[in-house]
Amino acid sequence: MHNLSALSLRKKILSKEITALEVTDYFLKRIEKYDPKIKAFLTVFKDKARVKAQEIDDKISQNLPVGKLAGIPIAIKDNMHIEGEITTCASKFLENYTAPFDSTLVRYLEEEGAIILGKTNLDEFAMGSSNEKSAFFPTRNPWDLNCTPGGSSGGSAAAVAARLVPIAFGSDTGGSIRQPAALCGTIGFKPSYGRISRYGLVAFGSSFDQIGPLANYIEDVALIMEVVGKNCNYDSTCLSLPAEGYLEHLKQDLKDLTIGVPWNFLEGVSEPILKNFKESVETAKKLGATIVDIDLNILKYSLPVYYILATAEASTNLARFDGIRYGKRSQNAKTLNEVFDKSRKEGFGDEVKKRIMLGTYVLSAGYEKALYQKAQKVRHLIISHYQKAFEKCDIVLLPTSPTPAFPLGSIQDPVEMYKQDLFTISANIAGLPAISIPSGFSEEKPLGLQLIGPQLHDTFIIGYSNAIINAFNQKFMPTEFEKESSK
Amino acid sequence: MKNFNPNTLKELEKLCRIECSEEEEKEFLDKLAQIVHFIEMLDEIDTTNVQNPPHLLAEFQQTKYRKDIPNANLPTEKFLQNAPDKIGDMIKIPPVIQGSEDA
Repeated sequence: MHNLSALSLRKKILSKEITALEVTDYFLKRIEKYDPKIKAFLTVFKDKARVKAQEIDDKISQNLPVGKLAGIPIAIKDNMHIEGEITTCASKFLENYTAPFDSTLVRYLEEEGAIILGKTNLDEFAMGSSNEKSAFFPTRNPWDLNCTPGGSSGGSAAAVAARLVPIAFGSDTGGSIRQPAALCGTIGFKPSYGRISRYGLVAFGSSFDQIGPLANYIEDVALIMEVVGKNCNYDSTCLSLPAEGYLEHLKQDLKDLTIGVPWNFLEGVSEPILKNFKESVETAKKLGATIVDIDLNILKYSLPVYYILATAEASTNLARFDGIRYGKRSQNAKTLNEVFDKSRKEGFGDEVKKRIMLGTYVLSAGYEKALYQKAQKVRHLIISHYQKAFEKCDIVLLPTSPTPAFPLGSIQDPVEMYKQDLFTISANIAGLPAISIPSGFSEEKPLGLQLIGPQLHDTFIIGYSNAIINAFNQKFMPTEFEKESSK
Repeated sequence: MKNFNPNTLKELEKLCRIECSEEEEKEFLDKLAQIVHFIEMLDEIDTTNVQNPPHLLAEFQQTKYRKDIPNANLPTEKFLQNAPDKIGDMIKIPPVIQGSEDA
């Protein structure tokens, strides 16, 4: 059952071949059996999920209408709210924080009958590329349990890769959906900025953040985007557009498509990554696409731009965690100032503290012009270089990650870790839709290929991905987790 | 610049309202100096002729605004369930003016 797409599960549920409760129980059993090894989940809603699945079955047996996601098990990264449940952001600061409202994402999913099985692990406040910065425990990569699943949506990627759920949601500020998707051999989609409402997502870098799905089948990405990719009145940055028809775009082929490859930007990329990328480009060519060389050398500045602007936004967004209204309040604080200083000292982990400090630094008098304003200008340049590139081509291809999955604890240097986002960050800087699809292996570890499109071309990106995935025709399932869970 | 020294760090601790242990200070000083050095890479690129960019949302083609209509999204009691300390409908904090409260 775990090798079926959500779309096939849905058909089987609607035709009464299986019940929604059987599906929920099946995936709950897989979580019970395999998650102690992978540690993808922070919370599992066993009882609640079973009740909701039973409700779907009751409706089906009475021939009442059910939604587009009736009975589909889904996991949510633990930085999005489900009313009445804890939202930790994998931080000690919020370990007892109960969400007082549903995120728009969760509301849209549940309105269509999805069953939320649990919440997944992440780097604290989504700041990291390895899941090692979770305040609770690191998640492991299902392909090699000694390796990280990537991050920050590593829990969601690992859960999908090990088939503990067919679909999970992550958030992507600089690559946090796509990089773990690549390292875990799944699909990860970051839609255009504003496509999915961020209401109820704990903010990190508000001009970069975007929610998106991870799944093993592209049709499931299409299906779920039809449910969640629409306007919302509670997020002023959410596009005021209705949901588009993603499934119908899956028929697209690559004939007449022009693909841009910024070869000059890829100089210095390690051999296995470059080899795999060149093979992917060849595949696209065989499918009828025309490949053109484009100049996007400016992307080498995307990392410093990101680490200035995203930390500046994080330092202001995380100012709300003050120990006064919610979250941690230090027991050692005797004065108001100590409540701030000590709650933040005790509640935040190293990486979060570092980024708040860096963000404050780039915004402080004396450096604001040289760093923050300059980075805004370079951001603008990157956006216009992309616009120029899209005059020559329809989409841009890049590798997703500069390395395959790496062993836990192997990257200590912060700048080295930030370089994990080298190929993904520019899509956030320019607000573009970008997807990572599994493109092969290096030493038995999965690699990803990234397709980046012009703003609002989300449906096309998903359609072209489908054609390329079909041509790759590879089996992507970590063998250790292949067995059916015992019933 | 942009020499990142122990005084810079002390100043940042104050601005960020994050108290650091000595050990953390040592680590942060080292790591943040590395990162600041890295982001200074932007010095290479000349932006003197780049105008101040338009608002980002305009660049993202999202300039539509909705009407600002207030409504009661979050009832007080629901909000207060996460308050670390409270009196009735109010959040309680330590005394702001010293000697003003005997508790």
